This record gives sequence, C-alpha cells and structure tokens, in this order.
Amino acid sequence: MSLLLKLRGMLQRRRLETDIDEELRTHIEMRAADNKAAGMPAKEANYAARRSFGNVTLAKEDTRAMDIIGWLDTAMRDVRYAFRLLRKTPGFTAGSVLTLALGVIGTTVLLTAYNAIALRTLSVRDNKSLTVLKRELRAGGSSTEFTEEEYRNFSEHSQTLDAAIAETGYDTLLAQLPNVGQLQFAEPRPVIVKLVSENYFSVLGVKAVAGQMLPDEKHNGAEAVGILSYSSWQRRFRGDLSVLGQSVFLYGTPITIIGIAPRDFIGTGLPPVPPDMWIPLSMETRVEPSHDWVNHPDEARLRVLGRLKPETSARQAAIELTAMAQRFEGSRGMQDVTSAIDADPTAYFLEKRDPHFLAISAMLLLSFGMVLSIACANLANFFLARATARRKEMAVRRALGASRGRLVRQLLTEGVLIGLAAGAITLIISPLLCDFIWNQIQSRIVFRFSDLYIFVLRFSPNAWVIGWTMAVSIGAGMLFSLMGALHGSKDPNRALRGQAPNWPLKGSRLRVSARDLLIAAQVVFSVVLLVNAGLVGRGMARGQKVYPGFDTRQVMDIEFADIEGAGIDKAHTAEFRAELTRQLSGLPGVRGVAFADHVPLLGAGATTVTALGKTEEHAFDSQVSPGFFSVFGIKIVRGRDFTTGDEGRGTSAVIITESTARHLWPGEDALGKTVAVGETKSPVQVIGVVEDTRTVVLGRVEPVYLYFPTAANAPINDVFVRTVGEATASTGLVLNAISAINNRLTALASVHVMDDAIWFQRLPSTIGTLFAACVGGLGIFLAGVGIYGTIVYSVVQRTREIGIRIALGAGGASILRLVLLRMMRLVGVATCVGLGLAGALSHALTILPFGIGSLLLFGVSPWDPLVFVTVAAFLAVTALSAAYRPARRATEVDPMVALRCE
Amino acid sequence: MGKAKNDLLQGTLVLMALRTLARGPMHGYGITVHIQSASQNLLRVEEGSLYPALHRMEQEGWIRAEWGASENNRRARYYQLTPTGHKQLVEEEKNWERLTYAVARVLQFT
Repeated sequence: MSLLLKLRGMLQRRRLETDIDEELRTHIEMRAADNKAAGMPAKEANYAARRSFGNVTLAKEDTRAMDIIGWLDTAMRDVRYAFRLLRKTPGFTAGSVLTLALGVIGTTVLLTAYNAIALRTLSVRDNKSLTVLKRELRAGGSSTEFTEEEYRNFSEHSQTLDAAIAETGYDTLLAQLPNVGQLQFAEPRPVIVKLVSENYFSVLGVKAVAGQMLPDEKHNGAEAVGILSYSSWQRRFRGDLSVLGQSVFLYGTPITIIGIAPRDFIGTGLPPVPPDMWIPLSMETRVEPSHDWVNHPDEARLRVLGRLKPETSARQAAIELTAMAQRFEGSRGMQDVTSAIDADPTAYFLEKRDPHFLAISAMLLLSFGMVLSIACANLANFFLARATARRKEMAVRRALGASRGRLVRQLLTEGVLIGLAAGAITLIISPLLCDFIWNQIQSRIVFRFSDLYIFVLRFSPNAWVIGWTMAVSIGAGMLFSLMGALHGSKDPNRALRGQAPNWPLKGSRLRVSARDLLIAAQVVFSVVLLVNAGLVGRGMARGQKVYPGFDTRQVMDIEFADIEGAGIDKAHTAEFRAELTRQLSGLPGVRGVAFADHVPLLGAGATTVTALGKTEEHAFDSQVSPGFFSVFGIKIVRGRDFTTGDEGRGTSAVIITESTARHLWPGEDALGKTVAVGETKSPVQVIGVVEDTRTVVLGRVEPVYLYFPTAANAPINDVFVRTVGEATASTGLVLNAISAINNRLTALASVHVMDDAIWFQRLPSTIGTLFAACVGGLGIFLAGVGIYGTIVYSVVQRTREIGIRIALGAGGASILRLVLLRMMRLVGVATCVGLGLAGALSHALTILPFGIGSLLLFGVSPWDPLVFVTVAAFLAVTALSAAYRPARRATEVDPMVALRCE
Repeated sequence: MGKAKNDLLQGTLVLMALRTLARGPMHGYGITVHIQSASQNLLRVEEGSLYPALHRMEQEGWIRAEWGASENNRRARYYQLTPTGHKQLVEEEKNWERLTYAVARVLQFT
C-alpha cells in the first residue's frame, strides 16, 4: 500500500517536472522561431531566445515551488472547509466517526493484546540467543523439566551452549518478613520463591536496580542471600530501599536481601509472574527441608535455559543436546525416555507458534474483521447519503467553475478527517479496554484462587498497531468519501434541475445499483457474523449446563500450601490428619471429612492399567481417603468404600468407576477382579464400583478412572469437608478450627467451595459466551442501524418518483407493495447467500484441528435451525420495518409536495 | 532597455496576464508577445518569472491549463480564464485604477 503510494507520488512528480520542462522548452522554441522569422541566423536565433528567457533551471524550480505551495494552500483550505462542514452536521460526523471507531476497535484491541501477549520478548540481554530446553518423550508428549544432574551435564559439557541456567517452579513458603520503616509484619505470610542457579542473573545479563545480583559462584550454604522482585518490593515493602541488607526468615533460615531486580524483569517467562524472591539453588535444603533433591537426583524439576554460542543455531544445539541426553541416560542405566531435546525460543507469555493460540487468534480476528466490514458498509452509506444530499450544492459550485477533481478532493478531505478522528479515538480507547479486560481476568479469575500471583502485562499499541489502525480508519474514510463524492458530483445538470441522479428504478426488472449492492453486502456480512456468534453462543450456553455428577455446593476444599512450614513433618502427617479429622468432624454443620491428592476437576493423576489377558490402557487416577465418596455424594454401586485398614496396606485395593468396569470387563461383574497397575505392574484387587463422574474435564466421562487409598503418611494437600448447608456459610468456622490445631496453618490454608472448580471448568465457555455476546451485540447494533438507515434512505430517495406515480393515478397500496416487494427480494436473496456462507464457515469450524470447533459448539449442529431462523427473521423484520414507514409516508404525501420536494 | 522598465510589479504581471487571457485561451509565450506588442514594446515580461506566476494563478483557481496544439502545430500549454478568474480580473482592474489614480494625485500635488 505505502509502496504503491510512493510509486505514484514519484511518477506524479516526474510528470509534473517533464510538464514544466516541456512548457518552458516550447516557450524558448517559439521565441527562436519568431527570431528566425525576423531574419536572424538559426544559431543566433536560438541563442537570443535562450538569453532572453534567462535562467531556465531557476524558472523551473520557481514554477514547481508555486505548484507545491498552491497544493498545500488548497489542502489547508480543504481542511478548514471540511472542518466547517463537519461541524455544521454534528449528527453525520459523530455517527460516522463512532461507527468507524466501533468497527476498528475490535481488531485494534486484538492486535494490542496479541502484541502484549505473543510478540513481547523477555527483557534480558540478547534474548534471541536464549533458548529454553524441551524434552520430547519417547512415550509421546514433552516436558521442560530436567534433573539436577542433567542440568549440570548440559551446563558443563555442551559445546553449542555458552552457558546454561536453571530455575525451579513457583514454591509457596511461609516467610517472616523484616520490619521496614513503618511496616510491621507480626505474622508470617506466604511468599512465592523461585530457586535459580547461581549464574542465573549474570547469564541473563540482568542488573539490579538497587543493591547487587547473585554472586556468580556457589555459596556452599555459607551465606544465604536472595533477590527481591520489583513488584514484590513495591507491593510488600512499598518501595522502601532500607529493605536491602535485611533478612527474610524462611523456615527459620535468614535470607539476606542483597538486590532488587529491575521492573521489566519478570523472570524467564511463561507465565509473566515474577516471584517474590529468587534464591540460589544451593539453599534449597535449608529453606525447603522436604525437597531434598540432593538425595533425589532423579527428580526432574528444573527448567533449563541455554544461551547459544555466537554463530550457533538452535538446531545445532538441539542435535548436540539430544545426543548428550541419550548418552547420559545410557550411562546411568536409565530407561531411555528422551527421543529428542529441542532448544526453543523463549517467550514472555506464551509460545506464539502454539497452534491452539494461533487458531483462537485467527478466529477472533475473523470475527472482528466481519464487524469491521459491517461498519465499513455503514460508513459507505452515510457518505453516499451525504453526497446525494449535497448534489445541488456541488452542481452549483461546478457551474461556478470548480473542477470535479477539486470537489472530489474536498470530500476526500472530509473522509480523511473522519478517519483520523476514528483512528485517534480507537488508539486512545483500546489500551484502556485491554487493561480493563485484563484487570477483570486478573481479579475475577487469578485472584479467585490466589492473590500471590501477579501477572505483569503492559498493553500499549506499538508502531504496527498504530499503523494498522490509522491505515484502516483513514483508508476507509477516504474510500467511502471518494465513493460518495464520485456519485454526488455526477450529472450536475440534472441536479441543478432538481432531478434525482440517473438512478435506475424499474419495478419489474431487478437492476443492480451501487446502493443495492451495498444493502446486499451489509446483509451478507451481518448474516454470517450473527449466525456464527449465535451458534457459538448457543454452544457455550450448553457448556454452562453440564453437571459433573457429584455435589459441589456443599463441599469445601481446604488447600495447604506448605504443611511443613507450619512445623508438621512427614513423621507426624498421619497424626495431624487424624487430629484434623477429629476437630473438623466435631464442628456443627460438618457431615464428613476426606482427603485426596487431587481436587476433582482441577487435576488427576495418570497411570496405566492392564486387566488379565488384555492390552495395557491409559487411566486417570487419584488417591482418596475413606469417606471421600460420601463427602462428594458419589454412590457406591457395588462392593465397599475404603477403610482405614486399606490405607496402611498401600495400593493393593482399588475402586473403579462403572465405565471402567464396562470397559475392562464388558458384561461381567468387576468386583473381586485383579488388575496390574503402573510401570511396576503391581496387582490390585477391585473392592468396589462407584458411579461415573466428570472428574477430569466437564466435557466427558473418562472411560477408565481408578481410585486408590491414600498412603497413611502421604503429604496431604487437600482436605474436603462436607457441610449440611451451603459450604460458603461454614468457611469461617472451619478456619477457626484449623487455627486451633496450629495457628501457623491459617496463613497457609486457602479455602474454596467446590463450586469454584466447576466455575473454573466452565471458564472457557463463560468467556466464549461473553465474547459471542460482545461480537453478536456489536454486530446486531451495527447491522441493525446500517441496514435500517440504508433502506430508509433509499426509499426516501424515491419520494419524488412515488409522487409522480401517484400523480399518474397509481394507488398507494400498489406502490407500497412494489417498494416492499423489491426491498424484500433484495434482502431475501442477500440473506440466503449469507446463510449459505455462514453455514459453510461454521461447518469449517467443526473440522478445524484440535477439536476447537467442538469445544466452541459443544455439540450444537453447525446448521442449527434455531439460530438460522432467528437471524433470518431479525433481518427480515429490520428490513421490512425500515422500508415500510418511509414508503407509507411517501404514499400519503401530496404528490405536488413530493414533486417539489427535491 | 533600462532595468526599471523590466521590473514589473508582481501584481501588474498577474493583472496583465489575466487581461490577456480574457481575450481567449493563450499559451505562455503568446502572453509575453501580447503584453510586449500591446504596450508597444514599452513593457517586457521577464520570461523566467512568468511561469511561476501562471502556475500560482492556476493553483488559485483563476485560470485553467490544458495541453493543445499551437498555430504551427507545436504542443503547448494553453491557459484559460475560469469564472473565478473573471471576477479576480474585475477586482484587480479596480485596484489598479485606484492605485494609478492615487499615485497620479500624489505626483500632481505641488
């Protein structure tokens, strides 16, 4: 686009220059010819002509300068004139600016968000050479977690990596914060900690905003130091610098804060949530005694990032690291689990090549693109109507000597001004809107589960977004004002005589005019948009109604972030659990207490199961305590629940779901059967069968789901309490009882109603519904206003013609019928085309990869008749009511008035 | 040819060009020749400054330009007065008359 403009500008200047050249040359030649005619010799004649002209180059430049000054002058005049006219018609101005802004804002918000989410890079030195290592598993899938030994192996022996760094996941620990200034921290509170390799900050090239970063060598546990994140420093210590040198007590171990990370540094991404503190890996046993990876070298829990050597590609690194990992596994006599190691680019929030993300982005862009198209069609109509209304004025001005080009340019200026205004509004609003949406997501979703995780995202449109918004707005303004201008300046003589432009109007034959095409285009776009928004909305509404099959309203989930932080170690787990059960059961309104390693709908374990003489199958599993099923109201169909006796025996008993029984032993009684479980193929016996529930995702019932008894000393994370009434009513009581057992536990416990889990599962469909409502609402508004306006206007245009017909003796009813019939035929044809296209598009949605279509439609047919009929009816009613009133009025008007009305 | 004679005021050049064009479409060289002959060789248009002036007038919308064939079939740019240009000419003529009248009064004042 810009290239084309530049090219045209260049050609135009060339043309201008050669024009001036030729004009001056002609002048000199004419003079020379006259000189010759007066008797001068040829050579002398030419010379005299040139001399009398003077400095040709200077004259040429002066002339061109005049052209340019004149052009600027006219442009300025056009702008002033356009301003005046736009001020005189505030309705038109506000309407078209708003319509355009509404159309563009969707795509701008989308691009701004895409920019902030997918295109933003980590604020570290040379982020292009920084890669994150990913293990492709032989069994399928991938993982970004490595063991300590593997990390050391890569770090010390790789030839393609300059350096490797490692970080753990987020750990929530109970910390006693230092008193700084006026801030007093009486109680310990949970903080998020990330353990990182000693070279983490130096390899990333991140400098402290205050204090210093981790010294680049091992501490041997001698000095315990930590780096505070900027957001934590601001939030917890109100940006007080005297926090430097103070100690944070984790597990009684003092950690000295030696530096504060820069504001832009949010860690190494995915998600962009900075922890409160970064602490050297070597401190792990001191701050988290339960996580003694030193004694468990096989535990893969480090994310490893590598900095590529100069001139080395990520591919070369991947090849070398794959060989290294496989050799490493071989030398340790381990199972070979790694099929390849990838060195992927790092990202701020998410990997922009993620196909799910791409598919969703494309769908959003398509939806808002359609909203934009409808807005553009509206705009075209506004301009067309305005130009038609001003035909007389334009004709008069042409008669007074203004050229058509001049008039067109003036209207074009109006278009540019409107585009500029719409673009500016959009650019101001969209970052605010992004922030608003994000804050809503943060406060309603993220904080609902924990207020420790603060995402750092900044929405500001970059040059590309600004360029897109301005180009689209100004382009639309110019295009449609040009359309109007060309139409309005047509046939000035007819306009002066007060006649309508030569606009075809035949009752019998359907001749397509520009306005008809516009109405048709508007209808087609609206139908496609509304049908798809309707289908998605209906699908999402269906997704909201799915019930999981267990009780959620009367069950509360208490999650402990770090039991050992409260001084309860492994040896005392069973004791603590018994105490907790006793205390909670004694509370009024509590009907039962149970434990499990996973919260239904928020997680499940994975294993394999082999029935005698059958093939191995994938299975989901969880470990539950006796009473789990009664707490959740899941019926035991056959056999019995676990008892305290089962706990001690480990996993020799299993309870399965009805689906599992049907799947493994069709037509047989599963009770008492034996299956081999997991890699070790340990045999377990089925002691009970329970009802099916939707435990993993709301969308389906898993074919194979196994419940194992909890091990007596397994660390507990989640306690479930069944209450008599709504669970929300009893949370305070429960928390009091917990603090009575150990007052440090309250800070570590977070209490949710199980309804939250359902809510979380329904989140995608909730957001989808909101989105469909948003796009659909915008679409209905724009399409309704646009189609109504266009039809009203096109009928009003014919008032004069209707007057003539009535004057000639036509009946009002027959004219009304004629007008309505013609409009309905046009809208009908366009609606059918739109419905066909919409169906094709939604059909394409269902065959999209990754099941995104079925996720959106939730089993609603892509040809769902309800949606199609509703949309068609909406358009028919809009079009009919738009055409009826002005047509009716036109037939009632005195024909003489109608004839004089233009 | 004294220098003073050539120093036509910019305003008078525009006035004379408009007046010349009021007789009919003409190219730049034609305008020079006409002014020279009509003034009985008393006035000579400085050719180098004629074209900037013409282009300026074109931008003002007083004259319109079109390429056409000259008497001896040369391609030349013909200028033509627009309705606005006509009005401008009347205006400028009035101004000129006022100016010369005023200057004459000053010179005759003894």
